[in-house]
Formats: sequence, structure tokens, C-alpha cells
Amino acid sequence: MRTNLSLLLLLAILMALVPSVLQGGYFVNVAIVVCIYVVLAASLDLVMGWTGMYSFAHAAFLGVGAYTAAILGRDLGTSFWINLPAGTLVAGLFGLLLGLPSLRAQGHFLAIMTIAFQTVVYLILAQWTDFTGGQYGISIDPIEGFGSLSAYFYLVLGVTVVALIVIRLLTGSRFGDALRAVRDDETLARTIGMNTNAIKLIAFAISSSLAGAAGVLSAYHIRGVTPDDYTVMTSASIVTMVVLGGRGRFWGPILGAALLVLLPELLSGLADYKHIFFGALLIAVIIVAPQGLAGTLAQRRAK
Amino acid sequence: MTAPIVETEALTKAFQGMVALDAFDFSVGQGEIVGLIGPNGSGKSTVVNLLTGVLAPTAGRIRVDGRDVTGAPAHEIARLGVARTFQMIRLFSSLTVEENVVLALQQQSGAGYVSSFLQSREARERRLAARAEARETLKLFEMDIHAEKLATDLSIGQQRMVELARGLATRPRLFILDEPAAGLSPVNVDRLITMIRRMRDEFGVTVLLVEHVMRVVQSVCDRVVVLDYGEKIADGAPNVVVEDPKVIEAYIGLGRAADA
Repeated sequence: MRTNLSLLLLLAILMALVPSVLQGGYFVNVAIVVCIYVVLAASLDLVMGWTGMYSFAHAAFLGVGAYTAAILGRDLGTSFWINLPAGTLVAGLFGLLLGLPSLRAQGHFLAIMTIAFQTVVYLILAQWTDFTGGQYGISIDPIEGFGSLSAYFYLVLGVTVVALIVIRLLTGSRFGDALRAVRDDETLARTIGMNTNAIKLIAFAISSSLAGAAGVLSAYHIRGVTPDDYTVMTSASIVTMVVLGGRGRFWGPILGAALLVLLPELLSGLADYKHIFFGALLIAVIIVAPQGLAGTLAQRRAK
Repeated sequence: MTAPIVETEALTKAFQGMVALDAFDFSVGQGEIVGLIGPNGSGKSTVVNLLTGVLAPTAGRIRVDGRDVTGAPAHEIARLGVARTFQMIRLFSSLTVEENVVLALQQQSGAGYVSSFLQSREARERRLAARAEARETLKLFEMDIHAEKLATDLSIGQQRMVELARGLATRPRLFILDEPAAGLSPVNVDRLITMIRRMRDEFGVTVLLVEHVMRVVQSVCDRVVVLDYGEKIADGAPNVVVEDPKVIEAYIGLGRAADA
């Protein structure tokens, strides 16, 4: 546990050098996007890898967080420092809502319900024009004092590190044990005295609230929200990141998110076919290395 | 018989009209080892699942330690001190043998989730205590040498012992064993018999034993309850019950009881 956290801080310090070493806004922008997807993938892994519940609705929570910030800013004029916790909280509440079907359905059936949930949220964002601005979305003013790109990057990096530490502590605690227990054998977990319903709901709430925080960060980064950023395609990309990196492992989703954000940037020809590539990659990983990169590495080392 | 640990009153379970258990009255007293037997499909597993809250009854009442727990969720009944093993062994496959036992122990005596999240000293101490306790119990079952292995890497006989250790570690008020001898070699059956006796004699654990293997039932049970087609047909000392014509008929059929 200690080594993981030290390694994380070291990595964060290296990341913090990006604006000064790599000149130009482009690299900082990419670094911000990497951070946001790291939070998304790591938080999705709480329900997907640790608890074994596949969710294709993570981008919906990203959207709920982002729109909460945008709507609060527009209607009440609140600042980022209120919008960030608000977006986190509201996304967490929506997460509880998605958690409810998980008490009844499992596996593929639950996954299908999450797709339905994702679709409903997208349709509300896109169609409820009076409230959400429809396809035009809502614009967001930059944060006072964080107007420069590199200053904002440090803010995002800070939130990312905090989110990852929270996830590390959660999974290393009794709560993490409980998540694994639910994943391995829910009936047995209940029989030894675990309130598995509460555990699943809380897992969904925490996972979604972190996605909501990522949503607020991304909304301030692109200075606005539009519904098409929060589709099932985005959700599927996050799932791919977790599977590629390795489910239920601290470094898995971090690795997966970094790779899948950077690859289309490095191979610029790939950007247009990103989703096709992600789809093919997902299939390939599931066949060749179902434990993902981190899982396969860990197994190698164990041998 | 002393005050009952568990008691049922007209307990009934129907699956869409198919009555699996019909007005079942029964009780297990403190410190007893009670056997529950019956042919396949007689409702034994239904009884276990009702008592542990895995299934909710259609009618009737269940009391644990005098407290009405009818329809209570499984985790609440477990917290009242009802532990069980499963006919098809259940262990957490991604955890080691020791972690499996520790996890069960932590449900009873673990630190709170928040204090565990904050890695408080109390949480760490309780975890260490649970590990020590788990080792101790595993040793009793001669499974301490496998403590670091993944539970699923053990043989069936060993896994069965780990299941028993998991239950015993929590010092249950009532320990329900669902066909613990299934799939065990004769040597392991002997070991099982010894361990069931020791659990009661040394740890004061009350045992409800659901079993097909009559050798186990006859050698450890104080009392045997027989189910047939969801109804109780006998309740008494093992040697008396096996002579009961109704029991013989249930097992062998052929209307022998009518001639007897």
C-alpha cells in the first residue's frame, strides 16, 4: 500500500513537470485529458473490477457532474469551488439510482440496464432544451485565478491525486474486502453477515460521484458542456480502459486510461477511427489477456 | 432440553404452488447436535435456506434465541450468530484461506468501515487480532499450513475444513452444516465426525447437521429429525428413528411399513 502511494506521488511530481518541460499548450491539454480519464477509469473500476458489476453508464455521471456545474454557474452564478463538490454530490445521488437495479439484476442484465440508464441521461441532456441548452449546451467561464492552462492543469492534477488516494484507501480497507466478497460470491457474503445491498449501493454512489468530479473538471477545461460528450461511446471507452489496464488493480485503470488517451494522439491517423480501434482492442484484450496489462504483469512476476 | 437456539412454528415454503416444506415445527436446543435427514427433495435444503434467511418463508415463524427473525435478511440472521456451510462448498475464490476466515471474523468483530478507511490504529489492531484468531482456528482443522494459499487451490476435503473453520472462528450460536460429508473420502469423514464433536464439546457450538451419510448422523447426533415430502415424519434419538417404519418406508418405499 505504501509503495503504491509513494509511486503515485512520484508520478504526480513527474506529471507536474509537463508544462515546464514540454512547451506549448498541446501537451498540457493532453495531460489534463489523461488526468480526467484516469479518474474516470479508476472510479469505474470500483464497481466493475472490484465489485464485478459491469456498467456502461459512467459517461452519464461524467455528464451529470458537468451539467450540474454548468447549470449552477448559469442560474446561481456559483463558483468552481461550490460546483465541484455539488457536481460530485449530484452524480453520487444519480449513482445510487443506478445502484437500485443492481440489487435485483446481475451480469449481462445489469449491463443492459446501465446502457438504458446512460441513454436516458443522454436524451435528457440533449432534449430538455430549456434546462440543459439542448445540443448547444451551456458555456462556462474560466475559474478566477486558474485562467492559465498550466494553473488549471495543476488543479486537475491535484484533484486526480486526491481521488486516487481515496480509491486506494477504500480498496485497501474493509470496504475493499467487501467489494471483492460481493464479486466472488454474493450469497456467501450475505451468509457471513455482510449487507451486500448496502455495499453495492455505496459502491455505485462513490464510483459515480468521482466520475461527477471528473465531469466538473472536464467541463471547466473545455469551458462548456454539450450532450455529445456524454454518450455510450464515451462509457464504452472508459470500460475499454479498465479492461485493457486490468480490472480490480490499482494501476490497471490508470495505465489503461493513459494509454488510450495517448495512443490516438501519437498516431494522429487513428483519431478518426478511435472507436473502431477501441472496440477491436477490447475484443483482443479479453481473448489474449483477460486480466489486462497490470494483471498479466503481476502474473508474470508471480511466476 | 434447554432453551432453544432456533425454533420454527408451522414453517411453510411453497415455490409457485409446489409445497417444499409444510407446517414444519422443530427446534434445536442449546448445545445439541441435531441431524436433519430425508430422501432427496424432501425439503432439507429448503429448511437450511429458510433458517439462514436465504429464502423467505411463505408462512410460519422462525425464532433465533427467542427473537422473531421471520423474513429477516440473511446478513441480519448471520449477525445473530447463525453460521453455515454449503452443500456445494462456497469460499471466496480470490482470497487466501486465511483471508476467507478473517473476512467472516471481521463481520462480527471488525473495526468500523470508516475507521478502517482511515487506517486507524484500532482498525489495524483488530485486523491483526482477527488474523491471529483465524490462524488459531485453522490450526484446529490442520489447515494452518495452507493459510497463504488461494482457497480454490485446495482439495475438496481441505476446502470443507476451511468452511468449518470459517464458521467456527465466529463462535456461532448455531452452526448449520449442509451435507458436510458430501464428496469426502472415508478418512476425511472420520475427521469430520471428530471435528463436529469437538466443536460442540470444546466450543459449546450448537450444530444442525443436514446429512445423507448415515454413519455421520448416527455417530454424532443427539437427536434426528426426518423429513419426507416437506413434512416431518420422525423426531427422536438416532437409533430409534432409523427403526421407525415410516422412516424406512420413506427411504426404501415398497410399502414395507404397511406390513410391519
